[in-house]
Amino acid sequence: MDMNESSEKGMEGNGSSGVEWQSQFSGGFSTQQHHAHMMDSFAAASGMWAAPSAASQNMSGLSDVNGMSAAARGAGFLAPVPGFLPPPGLGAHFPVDSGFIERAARSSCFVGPGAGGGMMGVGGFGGGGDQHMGSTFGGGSDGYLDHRRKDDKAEPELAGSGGVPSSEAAGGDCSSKGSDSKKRRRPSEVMGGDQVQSSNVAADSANESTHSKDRGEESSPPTATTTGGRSKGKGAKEESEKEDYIHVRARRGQATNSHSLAERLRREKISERMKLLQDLVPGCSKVTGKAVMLDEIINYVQSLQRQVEFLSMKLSTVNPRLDLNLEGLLSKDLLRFPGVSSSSIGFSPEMMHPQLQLSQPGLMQGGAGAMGNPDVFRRIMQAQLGGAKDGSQMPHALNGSFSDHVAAQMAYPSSQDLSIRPPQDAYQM
Amino acid sequence: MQGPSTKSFRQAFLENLLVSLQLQQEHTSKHDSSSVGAAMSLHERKLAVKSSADVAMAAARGAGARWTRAILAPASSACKVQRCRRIVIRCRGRKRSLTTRSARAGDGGTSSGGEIARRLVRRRTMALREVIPGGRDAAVDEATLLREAMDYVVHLRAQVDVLRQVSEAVQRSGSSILQ
Repeated sequence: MDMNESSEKGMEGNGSSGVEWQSQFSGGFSTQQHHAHMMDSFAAASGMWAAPSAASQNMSGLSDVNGMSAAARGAGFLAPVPGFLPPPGLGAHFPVDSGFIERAARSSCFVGPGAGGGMMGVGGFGGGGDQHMGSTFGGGSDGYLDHRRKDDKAEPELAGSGGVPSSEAAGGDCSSKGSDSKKRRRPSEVMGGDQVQSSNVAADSANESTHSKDRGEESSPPTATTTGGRSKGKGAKEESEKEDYIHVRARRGQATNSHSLAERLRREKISERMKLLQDLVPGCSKVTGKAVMLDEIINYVQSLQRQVEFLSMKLSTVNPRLDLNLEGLLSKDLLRFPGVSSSSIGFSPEMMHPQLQLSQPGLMQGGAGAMGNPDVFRRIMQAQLGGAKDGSQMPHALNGSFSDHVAAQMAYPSSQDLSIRPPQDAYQM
Repeated sequence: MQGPSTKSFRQAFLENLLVSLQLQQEHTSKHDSSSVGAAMSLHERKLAVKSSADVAMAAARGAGARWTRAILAPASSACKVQRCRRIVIRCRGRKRSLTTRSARAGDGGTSSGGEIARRLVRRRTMALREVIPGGRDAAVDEATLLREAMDYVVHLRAQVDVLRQVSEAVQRSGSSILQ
């Protein structure tokens, strides 16, 4: 069957992580059996799973396992689908099977994001019993929509399903959409929904050409209006309408109040983003809880900004006239780019520099500290300043608790701090 | 996200950086027409390099994220109306945060664990707003702020890498010239 081929093609792309996902999913299902929500959660899980996998593929330094486990944990109740195929009985519900398969097999991006595309196809079939096939793609398809809206004009039902995303859109948007586990899209207003969809697309997508709309507004405006008006109980079906509403189904045993639903959506979105951030910031995989996580994020951002500060200081000391040799620099750096991916690799050539070897004993003491990035940054700082200025104070400020970042800033009494603040203020102004 | 780790972003960033540095140099030479030989002080140079690096990063990223606009807007145009609006928005945002904070703090000493956690989270969210460029506007909700933070972190990392490589290259070329 074409469906098999396409899904297997998709699975190949992800390799071992896909296998692990499969085992996790089947294990998850054995614990719970919620038949009422089997299909819904399947669609949701596909969306969620597509998001972490795409995100993990695209974000450097992320581990697939992490994203997979997060998805598997989040969707603990799933239909046991061997080989990621839906029960054959479901296939009969959808009159547009063949069209979708053909489209899915045709699209080039299907193999690119790998398992995300494969899951896309399966998730559509997994939403059994629902009359609108496009809507069953729930979280996963939202980001795909505007990427393919030109192609899908002829087939409105497929628009939700056939739009295979650019990897960035999937990575950024599906994470937020997938977390809204019961969201559904109406296929009828696919055209009108383009506006909503493009506004929902991730801000961190590097695909600037296609997503030119303002990303500041998330799906919260639409969700607020829709969930307030149209959220139903868990057994109810949405009536077919022409407005582009995002329908949310309440989970079993939870309040179906409109306010609490919107609130829950918001919270899920935020927790999803926190998880992604956890993967970004090094050394935060074990940290749980929003407060500590936010603390780590703030620390990391501040340390990165200070790194930029000191690197710019270094650049300005090295060439007093700010004239960089264009051709020489560009050729050298372009030669080095393919090999350099992480800061640690980039740092080791620096260690060989004679200037740094003088301060090696100092580096050993400074290196006894804590996290990776502040360590590197401390080395750079010490290398530059040679402990002349405030090398002793910087590690203190770094190692101190950042429970209140304002206090931390005040505790950094060098002249450089005064120079740090005004430029930052200038940005906000 | 494959944007910042690809070669294209780094190349764009490099080009922007060099261009902006040249512009900075021309700018200072225009101002110091009287004292031709006077180079900028270390502080000024550092500021120039840093601001050009930030502008280069934001420009290379494209107009996709909120923080890029926050960085580019004051640098590109000296639009007074925009600046005033930003200040007004910032003051309104501060006032609102202050009132909410004081309203919650007027509990009368009842601080359960959950309330303490919520307070911490709120304080740190405010702190994150300060750090991320463009987070100070009141129109940014928490989810958007987190997404902006993600984007910004990734691009900051790339910026740091590029700057480090540039400084290494300059150092190496400088030392080789001396020898």
